[in-house]
Amino acid sequence: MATTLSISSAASPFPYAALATAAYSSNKIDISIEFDVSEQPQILHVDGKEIIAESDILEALARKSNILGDSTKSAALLALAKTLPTITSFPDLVAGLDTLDDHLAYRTFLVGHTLTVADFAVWGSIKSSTKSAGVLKNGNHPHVQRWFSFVDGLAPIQEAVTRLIEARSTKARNNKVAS
Amino acid sequence: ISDPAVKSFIESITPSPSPGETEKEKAEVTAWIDRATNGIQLSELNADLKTRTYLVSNYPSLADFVVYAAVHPTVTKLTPAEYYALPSVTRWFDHIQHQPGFPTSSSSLSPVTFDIENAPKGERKTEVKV
Repeated sequence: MATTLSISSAASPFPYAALATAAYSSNKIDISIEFDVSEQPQILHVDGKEIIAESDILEALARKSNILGDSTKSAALLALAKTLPTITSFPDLVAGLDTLDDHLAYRTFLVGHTLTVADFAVWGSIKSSTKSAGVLKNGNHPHVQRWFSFVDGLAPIQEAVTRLIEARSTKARNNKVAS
Repeated sequence: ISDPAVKSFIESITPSPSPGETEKEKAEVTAWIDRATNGIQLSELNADLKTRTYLVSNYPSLADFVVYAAVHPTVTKLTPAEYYALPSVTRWFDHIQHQPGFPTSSSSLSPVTFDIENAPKGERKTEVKV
């Protein structure tokens, strides 16, 4: 049965983690990614079920494409991915990225020696948070930057982000025609 | 590749590491092999690897394995304090020796064990909001 991830191109914060996990999984499993303009930010159709919450979508996709990684090691990182976009205090945000930078100083990827769902979850939370991106621009987290630009530059992720930008501009054009 | 030990190490990797996909990448791989032949300073390698995950492009290539072999004799002798002071070399070296197809036996270049879990935290200056 086909697995489909539908994402609203207007969703805010945008579910970049789900988009990246699905895009990367497309090398391993049969999955299609669709952009729409529904109220629902994201919805995964898999094995006759509908999954709505982004963290549940990540888990379901990771399980199917076998990129879950060591769950005891990824738990704290998945938690960080969830809280990072909600942090409003600047020192707390810097502290979160400091922890991540120390972790990535001696590790190529977040968990083990291959890309796992933790990488896409944390990449997505930074990508969707302008505050985190702003702190990274200060240049005090070189190891996070090295890792972030690696994930950002992966061919399936670039392709998915390009499709998102196209979907958004098509929507903008249609809106103009309608009005 | 002139060094017979490096040559036999490279030949024992399956599948054979990529020599680069584009002409530009192939030239970069060749440049790294030349550098490896002439001797590489770990401090310089650390600076190169600070911003890149692999030596050439975004996948493990022949360059990574040749440079791995070239610096192995030095890296294997480093004390924890010394390899903690070269985080990017340590990160990359440990990653390369965990690649699928890395020869586990019958190689003169045995994997080096690093105590990553107890690595020191980076020293940071206080950030000011701009």
